[in-house]
Amino acid sequence: MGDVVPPRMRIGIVEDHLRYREALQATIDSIDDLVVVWLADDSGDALARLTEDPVDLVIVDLSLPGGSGAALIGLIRERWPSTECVVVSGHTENHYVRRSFESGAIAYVVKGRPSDLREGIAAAREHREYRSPQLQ
Amino acid sequence: MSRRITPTDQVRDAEASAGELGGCPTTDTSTSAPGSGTARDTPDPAAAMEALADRTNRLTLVAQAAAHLLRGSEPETVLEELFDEMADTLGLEIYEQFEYGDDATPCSVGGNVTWAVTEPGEAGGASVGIGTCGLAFERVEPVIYDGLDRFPDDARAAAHREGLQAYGCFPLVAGGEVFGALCFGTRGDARFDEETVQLIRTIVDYLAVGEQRLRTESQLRELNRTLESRIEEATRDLRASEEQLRRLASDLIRVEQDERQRIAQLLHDDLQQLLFGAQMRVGLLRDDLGEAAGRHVVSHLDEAERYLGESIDIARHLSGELAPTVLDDDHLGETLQWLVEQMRELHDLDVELNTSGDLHVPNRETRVVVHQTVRELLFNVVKHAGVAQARIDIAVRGAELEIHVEDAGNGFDADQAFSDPNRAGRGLATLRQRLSLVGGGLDLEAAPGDGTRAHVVLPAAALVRDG
Repeated sequence: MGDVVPPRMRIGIVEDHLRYREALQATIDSIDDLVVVWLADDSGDALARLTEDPVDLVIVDLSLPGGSGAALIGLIRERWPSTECVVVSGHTENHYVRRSFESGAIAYVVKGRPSDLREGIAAAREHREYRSPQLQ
Repeated sequence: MSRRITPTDQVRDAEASAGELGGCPTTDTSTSAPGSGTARDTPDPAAAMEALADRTNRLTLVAQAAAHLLRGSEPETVLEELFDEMADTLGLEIYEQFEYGDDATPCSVGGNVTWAVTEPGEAGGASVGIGTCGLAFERVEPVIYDGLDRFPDDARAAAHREGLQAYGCFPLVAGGEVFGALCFGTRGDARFDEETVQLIRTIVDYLAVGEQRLRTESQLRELNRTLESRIEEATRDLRASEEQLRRLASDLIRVEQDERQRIAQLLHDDLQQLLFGAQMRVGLLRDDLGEAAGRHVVSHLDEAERYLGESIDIARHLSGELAPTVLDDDHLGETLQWLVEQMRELHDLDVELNTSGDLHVPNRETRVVVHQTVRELLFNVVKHAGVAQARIDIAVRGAELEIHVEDAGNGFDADQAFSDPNRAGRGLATLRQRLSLVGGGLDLEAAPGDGTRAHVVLPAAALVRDG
């Protein structure tokens, strides 16, 4: 009997900026056991996608058109409690970080470094909190 | 001094007289014939009692006149009743009232003409009155004609033919201005005795003073009304200007903020995201190259990542400076907490923040003004106080939002702070001006070596949306 291959983690991405969304997808695609199932560019689109196709983890940008990422995280955690949320944001201010965790995020990753994102996703997979090193 | 006119004075006064009665001679009262005194060979108790009663009546008349004319609110309304009293007491039969105008013939019949033997404008009483009052106007003193029968053919003789024996006009003078005359005539006696003249003159003077008092009071009331009206108008204009200024200031802040926000959004939503994307791609490239990357390639990647990191920092800083996204949050506590963190991160200033009351402020312009105000005050601590600690207390009390920013640093002369031409002074003056435009204020309490306490107040109206 061969090794049991763990199921690939199903991921949704909510990011309104096309170029950065592509960069996120490319980063996640570079990790073997992850698969990007859908992409959304705002909160409404994300909730529709989740309803159709629930995922294990959602990458959420905080600055979204039509509503904040933190509010989206609150809704996701309420309706899909097993779905973890990882924030990716350019904001490094404490109140953004604090509010994200209060809303139910498991990790807060500052945009820019693929290694940070990988660390954040790994932590989420293990259901432990993570924040980028520059936020410590 | 009154003037008595007799026929024998005609030649002496011919050149001085003018008007309808041209050539009327006048003499001083002191040179006129003796009055109607009677020789009293033996005391007559009845006559003495009568004289005493007459004197009492006269004194009563003067007292009543004083009371009515000096203290009353409308002296002219009591004239008729008063002159009836005068007629009874002084034996007068004719009373005419004249007003002076600015035209060539100064006298005209005014007010009520009572007891006149003729109608105004006809020969007789009114005519003699017009002429006599003209002289009184010129001379600003009473003019009295005794024994009208002795005058040649003119208005006086006509008046005599209609029964008049003596006639006199008393100018109404107040404040150096003659504004009319009261004229009296008698058909009984051939002359007015001196005491009667003085008594009439006293009463006429009372009336003049009363009239003048009323005129002055009326002018004062009118002046007051005018002043009050002007003050009300000026106050209304001022309030309208203030309101307009406040709205303009609010619009200006809104427009400025909109533009700042637009640019900040471009920086954050576009430029920063592209830089983040580029940074991610460089990271992925580094991962893909792995061990295969040579030393030079790694060095180039390091530099590229460093440049991108610096570019992101600059874009983030610029975006934050232009329009901190925390201002989108309507809770001032969040805004100030962010500012506290910024001051600690960028300027090593440790700020204690104490909040109290409901600090939700829907009006974005107010949040902007509060943010700019506190930031400027904290910058002053960084630049001038020489300490690394400060404290902010913010609270909503009643209808006001109060903010205190204080430090225990070098302090300065607060009295000169706002007029100081250096940048700090200008900054404070600008701050105070900006606050005043939204109805707020800034006070400073400071002294060299004794720290600084800034007190900012904003009205509740500025807290609500569109306030």
